[in-house]
Amino acid sequence: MAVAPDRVRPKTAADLLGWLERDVSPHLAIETRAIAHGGTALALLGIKDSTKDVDFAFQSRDAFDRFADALASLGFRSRRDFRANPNEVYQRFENPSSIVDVVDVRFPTWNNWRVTPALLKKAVILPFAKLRVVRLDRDAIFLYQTYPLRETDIDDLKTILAEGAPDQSRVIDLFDEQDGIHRSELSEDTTHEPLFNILELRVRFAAALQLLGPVRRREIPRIGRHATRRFQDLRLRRSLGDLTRILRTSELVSWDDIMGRGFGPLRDRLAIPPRKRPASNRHR
Amino acid sequence: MKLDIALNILSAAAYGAPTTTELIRATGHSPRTVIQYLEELEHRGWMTRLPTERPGVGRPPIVRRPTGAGLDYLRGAEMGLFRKLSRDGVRILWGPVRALTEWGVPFIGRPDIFADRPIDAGPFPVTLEGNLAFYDDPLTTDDGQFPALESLIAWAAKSGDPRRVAASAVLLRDPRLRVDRLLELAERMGARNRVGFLAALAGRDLELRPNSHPERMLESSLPVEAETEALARTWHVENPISAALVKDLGRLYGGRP
Repeated sequence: MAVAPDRVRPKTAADLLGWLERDVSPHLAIETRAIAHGGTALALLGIKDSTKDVDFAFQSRDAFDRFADALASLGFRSRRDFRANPNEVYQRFENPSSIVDVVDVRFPTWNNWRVTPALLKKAVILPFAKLRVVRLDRDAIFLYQTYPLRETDIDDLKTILAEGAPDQSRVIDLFDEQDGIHRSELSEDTTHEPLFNILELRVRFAAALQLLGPVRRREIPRIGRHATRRFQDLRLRRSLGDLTRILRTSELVSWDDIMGRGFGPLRDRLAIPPRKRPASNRHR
Repeated sequence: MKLDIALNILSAAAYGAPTTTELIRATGHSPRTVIQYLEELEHRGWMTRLPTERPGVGRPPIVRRPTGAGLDYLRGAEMGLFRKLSRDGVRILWGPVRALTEWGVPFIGRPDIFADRPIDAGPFPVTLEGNLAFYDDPLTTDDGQFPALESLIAWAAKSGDPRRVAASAVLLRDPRLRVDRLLELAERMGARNRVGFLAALAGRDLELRPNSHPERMLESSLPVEAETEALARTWHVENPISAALVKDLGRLYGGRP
């Protein structure tokens, strides 16, 4: 069958592991930790057979730069530099001749999610010489996959559920931890309005659970109720259905327009005292 | 060592880098069984351990993967099992993953099968398809039998899985498609409106008209483009797939954008 030359190839876990070991790790002279996300994490968990997206996040600028340099040494070229959130660096590297042809790298967060000791508690590190690939557990990956809201991501959530429900208490605790981090930043001076992060986090979490459908949602009732409660606590004037439609069709959501005058009171209501940053969030 | 258990564990470990605990969950065997078989498979040189670490304190988990010899053994055993299952009077064809790959949408993954009734198929995930029309006129190769292109399109259109539905739209552009055969199958498999809608999305004119009986495409409704929504209404298709996903999959797997 004729195949377009520019198609993105699906990659199996074996492709990924072989590429990381043989190609990437020899180009790293200093220990570098890369956290696998999205389809990559699901493929490494064996939940998904292959992935078209190869996603890694880094906790420090140095680690991000070292990995980017290694990719450059392998003939990858940076094609896009996304900056939807000024606090998150997001670059796409491409090399059509490599078995892993497209790699998305982000720093210091992935879709706004922070890396904390609680998140890493059940993770496994796969060492390849100086490269340390962090493979998160299925509970953490389930939570993280609630963010993008694409049909394929909702399908990924269903695939995880097909193997059994995640630990609901852990998913709820991890969500509340992330929510709490953003809320504690509301009273700090930051370049990016932290309230946007809270709105995105809560609305996307509730929307993903809604999009899963009633049958699947019944398998994780506590998570479903928690997501709805956290969304309702925002007391927004728009319905979840409306907001879901906006989030799935717009590159950037204009929360200013959606919130109107309700911005200030919501900010005051959600703010909690600043918390001590988790040790793993410090730049290394 | 029972062959079906060994194959199940090898197959589950072939995709991903699962820990022993995760393998126990994935295979459904008891922890004792999985650990015993893992040790035996490792002893025979069919599996090997990957080095692992923990981010914090604690003993690192054990991650095992099949060796090259283990993968060769797994592939040979899978082919043998497929041939054996085909001889037992059950209608068997290679399943969605292998069939879609064979017809040009490479969903790389664990081998699976279609069967017309519930069977114990060892490591193969089984997709039940009770409509016997689906099994007509299969594609026969050295690697076994696959559903005909038209059967696969009609099945994928009514699968309810967004990726497979989108794959159906990609396959609708295939020049080998026998339109008359597809129309007949779509009718017999109860997917006439869904196939017509997907063909319209894919830009393939099947000279088909919708019937009045509504058909549901996905389990729950998802936001789609206004034009797609209007098209779905014309075809009496509820919970349609978005044109964006069809375009995305077409770009990935070689269809015309």
